[in-house]
Amino acid sequence: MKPHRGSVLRFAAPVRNVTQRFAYLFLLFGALAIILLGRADPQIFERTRVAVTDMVTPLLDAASRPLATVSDVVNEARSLTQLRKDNAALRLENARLIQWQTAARTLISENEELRRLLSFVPDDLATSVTARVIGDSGGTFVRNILINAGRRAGVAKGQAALVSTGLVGRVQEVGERSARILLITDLNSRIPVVVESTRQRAVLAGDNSDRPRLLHLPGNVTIAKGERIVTSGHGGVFPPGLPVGIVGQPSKTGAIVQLFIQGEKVEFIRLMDFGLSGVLSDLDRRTKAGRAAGLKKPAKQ
Amino acid sequence: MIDRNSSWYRLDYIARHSTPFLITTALVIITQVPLRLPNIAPVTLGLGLIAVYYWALHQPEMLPAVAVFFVGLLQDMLAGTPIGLGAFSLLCAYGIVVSQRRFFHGKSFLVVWWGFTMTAIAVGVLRWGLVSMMEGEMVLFGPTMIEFLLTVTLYPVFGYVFVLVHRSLSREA
Repeated sequence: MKPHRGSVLRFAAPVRNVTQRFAYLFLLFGALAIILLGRADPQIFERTRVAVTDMVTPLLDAASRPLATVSDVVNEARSLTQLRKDNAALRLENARLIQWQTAARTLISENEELRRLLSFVPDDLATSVTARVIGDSGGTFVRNILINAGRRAGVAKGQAALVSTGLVGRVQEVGERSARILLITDLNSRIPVVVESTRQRAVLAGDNSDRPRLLHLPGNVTIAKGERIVTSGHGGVFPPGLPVGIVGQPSKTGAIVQLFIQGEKVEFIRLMDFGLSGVLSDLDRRTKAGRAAGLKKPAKQ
Repeated sequence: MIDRNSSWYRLDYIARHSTPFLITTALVIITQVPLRLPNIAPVTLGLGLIAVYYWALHQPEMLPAVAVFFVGLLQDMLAGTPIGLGAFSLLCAYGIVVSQRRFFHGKSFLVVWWGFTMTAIAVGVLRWGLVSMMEGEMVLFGPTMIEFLLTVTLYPVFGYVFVLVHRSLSREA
């Protein structure tokens, strides 16, 4: 910069340098202190984080729409090139699904019959909120996404985030008009699951990669490749039976799970409130839900 | 002759001096927008780092340390990373670059790009080390590597845009 004010600046410059250097060190140590504080008590900055995210939400919402259109067009163009192949595959799948539909109809009527015999009281139906994904962290150190629905739309901490094919994650933070979903691929995500056919329990642990691992399997248990993994319902965060993924190539470190979905790739997400409070939500909600659960019949398991 | 005390002059001055901060903030927000490109794993771009590097090198008066601090905090809040991590790593990069300004003065673009590569490596390793320390285990290094490569590749594009912005800002100043 050109000195505007001549000799005064020449005098003032060294002083300013010292102040600037001091300010810089002050900020650097400030940042370090913030990291330590946040580490000691993760809740301490949550309100600020949620408020700032809420403020930026309209901007992210607006910016995510044209980008979504662009990726739609790209996908459209790609799908045009494999129209024939897709069509053949879909015909086959359709034939198979019709068989399943018949099986499902038979089971529904049989189920209704049995329920009538037992005078069974069904679960409360889950309520759901649909939201658009407006932000993703990209996954260098964390795997989470931002959605454009918050407390005003009925989103609450601990709700399960799903798409039609499977589980995506759960609500971690809620603002007025935005919420953050912790994906099941995140390093800090631990979900109780079962192998659908054998009912073998395990914990699905994310490690920031696209393929989380199964932990806490007994040593003598081997899981075949291709087995379906669903939520077990233990811990009260997710209801039992939500589809998660299939077992991939087994390795020495444990089974790898190929997920049905990739959280960052979806455009819309469904948040389900199953009336489960989970281990994550606030204490008052937990006691309320606990009381309500005590009045009703115990869970099916 | 321009009257330095007129309100127009002041407004112009404020606008000029806040532009780098606003651009950096905008880039940090844009980084969060989901790309959803098929067959590409989700990645982060260190666009904020590009902006901080450019302005720290060419005109640190226009992007003071306090602005870098707040941009870093915003980045952490939006990305869901531990609060303070972005602020600390961006401030470290800022400090290194400002102290090495003389070396880069009048050097070619390739040298500046090389400087950015070094800075990005340092920041990547620093962030990875800090997160690993906080989590108590080695987190995957692959995503850091991809972020680093993509950001370094994109530097010339953003660097060029910044040169244009910088020129238009200093035309009359």
